[in-house]
Amino acid sequence: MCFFQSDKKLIEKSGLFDPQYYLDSNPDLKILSINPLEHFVMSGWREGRNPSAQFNTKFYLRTYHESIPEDQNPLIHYIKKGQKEGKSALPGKDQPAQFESFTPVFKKKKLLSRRNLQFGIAYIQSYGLMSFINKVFSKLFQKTMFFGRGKSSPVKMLEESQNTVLLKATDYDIQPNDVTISIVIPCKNAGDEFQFLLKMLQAQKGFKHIELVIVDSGSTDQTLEIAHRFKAKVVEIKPEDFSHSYARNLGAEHATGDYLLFTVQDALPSSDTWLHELYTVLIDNEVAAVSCAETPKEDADLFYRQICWNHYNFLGVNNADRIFSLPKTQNHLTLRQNGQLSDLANLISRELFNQYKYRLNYAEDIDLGIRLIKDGHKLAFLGTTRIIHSHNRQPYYFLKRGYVDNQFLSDIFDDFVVPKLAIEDFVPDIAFTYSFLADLSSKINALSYPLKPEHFEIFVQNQFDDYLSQRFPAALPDTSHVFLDDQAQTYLESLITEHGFHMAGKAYNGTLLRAYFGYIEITTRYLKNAYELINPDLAQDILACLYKAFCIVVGAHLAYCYKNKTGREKLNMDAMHQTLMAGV
Amino acid sequence: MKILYALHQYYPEYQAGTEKFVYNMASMSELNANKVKIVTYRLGDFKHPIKSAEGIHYEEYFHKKLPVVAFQYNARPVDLNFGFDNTLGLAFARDILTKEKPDLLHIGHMMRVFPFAQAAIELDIPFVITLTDFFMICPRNTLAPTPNSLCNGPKGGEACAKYCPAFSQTFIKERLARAKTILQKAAKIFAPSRFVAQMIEAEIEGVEVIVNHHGIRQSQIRANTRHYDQDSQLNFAFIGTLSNHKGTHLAIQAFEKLNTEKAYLSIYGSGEEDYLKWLKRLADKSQTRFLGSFPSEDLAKIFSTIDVLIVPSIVYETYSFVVHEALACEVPVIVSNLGGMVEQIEDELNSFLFPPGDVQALSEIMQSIVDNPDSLNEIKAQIRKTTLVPSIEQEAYQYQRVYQQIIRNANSI
Repeated sequence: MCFFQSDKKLIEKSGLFDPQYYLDSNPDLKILSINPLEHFVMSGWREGRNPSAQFNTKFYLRTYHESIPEDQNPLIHYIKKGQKEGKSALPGKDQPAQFESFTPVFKKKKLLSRRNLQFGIAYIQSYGLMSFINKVFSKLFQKTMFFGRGKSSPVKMLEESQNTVLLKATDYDIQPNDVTISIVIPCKNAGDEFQFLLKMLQAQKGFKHIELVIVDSGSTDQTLEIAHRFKAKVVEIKPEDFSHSYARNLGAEHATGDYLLFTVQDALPSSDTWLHELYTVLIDNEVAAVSCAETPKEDADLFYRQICWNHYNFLGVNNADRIFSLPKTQNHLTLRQNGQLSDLANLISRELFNQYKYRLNYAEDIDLGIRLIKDGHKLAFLGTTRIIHSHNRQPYYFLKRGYVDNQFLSDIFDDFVVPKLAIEDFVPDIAFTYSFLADLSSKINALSYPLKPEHFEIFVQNQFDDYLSQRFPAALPDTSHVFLDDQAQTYLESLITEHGFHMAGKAYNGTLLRAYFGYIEITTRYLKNAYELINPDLAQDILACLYKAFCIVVGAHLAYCYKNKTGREKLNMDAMHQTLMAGV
Repeated sequence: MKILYALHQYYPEYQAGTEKFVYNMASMSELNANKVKIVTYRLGDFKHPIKSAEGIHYEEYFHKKLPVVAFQYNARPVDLNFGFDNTLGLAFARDILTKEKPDLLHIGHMMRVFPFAQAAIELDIPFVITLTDFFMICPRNTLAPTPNSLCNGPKGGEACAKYCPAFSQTFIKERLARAKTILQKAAKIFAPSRFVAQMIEAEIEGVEVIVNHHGIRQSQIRANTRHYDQDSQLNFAFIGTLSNHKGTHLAIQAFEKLNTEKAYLSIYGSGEEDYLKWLKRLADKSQTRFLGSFPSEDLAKIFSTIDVLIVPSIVYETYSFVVHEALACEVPVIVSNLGGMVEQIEDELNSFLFPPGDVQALSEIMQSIVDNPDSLNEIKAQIRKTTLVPSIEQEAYQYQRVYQQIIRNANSI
């Protein structure tokens, strides 16, 4: 906070902040009773808002981006340096071309436009005023919200030598603990790497005995043969009896170890001391259970990586370990943050687990975490110890994933506000946003590369701004979606063709494009963090990522539509529900 | 964070083990959300627009999504491939590090890019080194004074005076002293095998070398699950550079001695023309096939046709990717009992060892396998059960943790 305070003082002293101008230019802030200067310092400049008529934030950032340190408020830069160096605070006639291969054209954004006001109203109509205010607050104060009682505490760091241990280090000897760990893995056709996983698990150092418990639901490949070869206890269930909770609970019933480790068939321990690191944290910090973050496999796609990165930033575990407990303010957001347990790796004493067990067929890990913290237990989540795991899934999966996630949220959390969204209004919104994405894709393909991520971000922002003034389409865009798998394309295009064109020609008043843009911002933030230049190959990865993001956002909104169903819809909502719930 | 990788040569010009290691680690580092760049030396012609610095030309390009800077001295220094000093190189390295501002420099091979370590020390940029061969203690890299001999390290220069008199004592002693200075200033030093670590630790007092085995790409691995009976035909294979020090000729000579019609020898790789001609003269039997090189994507397919891999190197291998790729594919290997490639091998349990250069011993092992092909079943079962070959994710994970630790420590000072 000191950083914000010093910025506030500096800006106040400069006379370049006009509170009345700021509120007049940003009517969305008026209803929030927020100190305008505080808002500008904390987030307003990032959103491109101007502090006064004397300073144009986006212009300054765009023109002098090379001399402004990353993450510095451009107004602070102007006050401290730019002013003395004769830099312009407002667009003039002879601005230098700063970009090497691409010069984005910045359109002056009217914040007080009718369009923006319509959006604000549409949002409040859908989500309610309180939800709107909460959302704005949570965005503004996101960093402080997830702390547990008072604040979250870092996990005691492991010893230096343990932080540098290696896969087969012979100079790092862990004395075996007199405990047995039972490792429970639900399986079905576990694939080529299953043998490697079992070998790595059996090679874990530091325990008297490792017991492998495989709960198989109908493998037809070599899974069972491999499991038997590694002397695992094999519990077979019928495929139709499988549920995430049932399989794991059954595995736990067959386990005899002092502790249970739940993991999955496509994960891999990062070293032979990985389990010992989890165990040490469990014991030394007196937490009920320990989970850890994942580190990507060699084929992890951009979408998966940015999701993990964003999630771990949100949890504050990208380079750190944390202990979570029951948050002071309990809502779906804080409980999900602090109830972090992951099926990828969940170490817990067998005795404690048997008092709780898993419930539900989805998000059973977080459900267990929330029940534990509600009963006063603490959980550890490690970012400095990780398990190797990632996926490279098709867009159709994410359509379903977005749907299932949001079904779960409203089922589990009473305070989760389901937006008021009718399917007949939403399908034209899919058509509109689908057209935007097709248009954006062809423009991304036409850009000159290499391109700086900062410039790419501005380009995307401009495309989004431009498209808001378009009208609902009357036909599907004429393009081949190489980044959309057949299943997603068939599903979405049949939905749009049958129900998506009755708004054709009308001014756009939907919410999907804005929600989608919010998701794209994760991508642009990730790109700025991880790349200095975007080359043509990376641009293709970005396109694939944009289609997956589109599908997950559409899936989420279809879940809201289902929750709002009246039974009078032309679309068979139950058939949609069945299709989108299957197989995730 | 930003990691700059430096090494003596790189793709697409060269494609040996160190290049593979640096590519693997840099690409995984990128997946771990680090900004990465590779700095290397260009021995041949430039392929991209050329930029200039004092006494140096350089080019910038992307190789498989990763940005690369490749430089070249305008006038090639005589000690380019064995020296430890270059003023022009130091100025260039200083400029590059100042411009790129890496949080950490990871050196995959010190040859030709040594000035980057010097500049990193000057600029207070932490660096780690992975010793992918013996360059730091041996100007020949290999600890092989002649094509058919090996030494046990310079012993402060005494061994060099005796076995490699072409290098002056002063040069060797100064070189070792510089190596010591650099190694002592490195934030961490790694080697892909215990063998390399021990050789360096034995020579340079006070340095600690951490072993991080090279990982392999699991996506290129498929288990060869062939089951053998007494009549099975066998395909022995050699994969790698066809050269004297890799001992390709030993594989052919040993195969020539076999008394069987049921076995083949497949030679994959390319090499110098004269050596290849000689190999073809040695290969009298029609069952010996020269099959050329193959792309790394075909590795699993090739290993699915191989029953036993022969790695008869007569120089110290520091790790040997191909040995570990074979083991990961559950293909037994027969390897020279030498260097860092034998650390995973338990003789006659999960593979076979033979004395380096001993054609007769190699041939006897091959003959015993030909006579009892079903003995391979037990060997393969043992590999399946106990032999662990790390993946590139596991290798990269160790580096990633060390990077974070070093940068955290550097920032907290």
